[in-house]
Amino acid sequence: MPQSAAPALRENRVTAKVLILNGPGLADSGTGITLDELERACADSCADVGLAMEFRHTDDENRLLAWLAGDSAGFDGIIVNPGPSARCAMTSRASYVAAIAGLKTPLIEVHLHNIYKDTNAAADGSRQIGGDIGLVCGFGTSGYRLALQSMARKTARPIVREST
Amino acid sequence: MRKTTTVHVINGPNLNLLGTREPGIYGSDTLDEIATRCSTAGERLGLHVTFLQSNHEGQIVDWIQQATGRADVIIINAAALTHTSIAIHDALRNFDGLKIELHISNPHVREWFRHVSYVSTAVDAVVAGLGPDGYELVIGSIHELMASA
Repeated sequence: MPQSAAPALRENRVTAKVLILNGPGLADSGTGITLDELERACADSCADVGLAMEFRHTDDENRLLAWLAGDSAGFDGIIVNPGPSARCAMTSRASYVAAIAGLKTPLIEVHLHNIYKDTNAAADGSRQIGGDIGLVCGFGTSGYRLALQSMARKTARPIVREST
Repeated sequence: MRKTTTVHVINGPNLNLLGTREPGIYGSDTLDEIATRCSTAGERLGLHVTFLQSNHEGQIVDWIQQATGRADVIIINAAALTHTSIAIHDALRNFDGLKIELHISNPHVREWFRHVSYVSTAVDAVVAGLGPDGYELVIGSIHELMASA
């Protein structure tokens, strides 16, 4: 059987998968948007930018931390809103720092409100943890869309070439 | 006739070196390339974008003052002045339009001296650590942000 001189190439673009975590108090945050509506909005944003997503919510902070520390490796990007009761960035809270420091996966922290508006929070004592950790706050629920648009760029994958 | 939304993007010290300075932290895009992308994004959305950079605190204060009556939105990357300038803080407080603080890297995961922001307490929203793409992504969010303000 004659063989072709060069094998045919088939190109696959691997869809990046993002984990969207939502923490305590978000359901009652007074934004006028329900968690279901937020999940749908995130799904729409993901469809627009070509991402797959898994959307989770918990009112148990320990569960949120366990997801952050334990499940991140299975995803290409993480978006986390620790919840309105958090009141400050994850990067300045020891329990969160333990979960996210050293993470190889890009992470973007989203807060509906500007958590740094309070002058007392301005010097937040956060640590030099490095990493690809972004912050979006004060955009309301639009912050998720902005974060997902950014995550699509951060996780942009090369085309995987396979021989057939 | 619908008034065009005007956005002033104000950049602080050392951002003129973008593309050559610490690309591992700040990326390889130059500020001119970012400015072009912002203008293009703005045109697509019916926004008029003015892109400014200075290494001098007083010039930045002047630009913020001049934005009153001329701009609807200020996007400010005050760079290192973020962590030192109460003058910029005060000037921002005096501007009535929408104010967004932007950083290419996330100062809160870097050295301790970057963890204070005098800008954050005078703005409506903060974006950091989205890389150079952050500029055009924020511009893309302005209509939604103004609608909910």
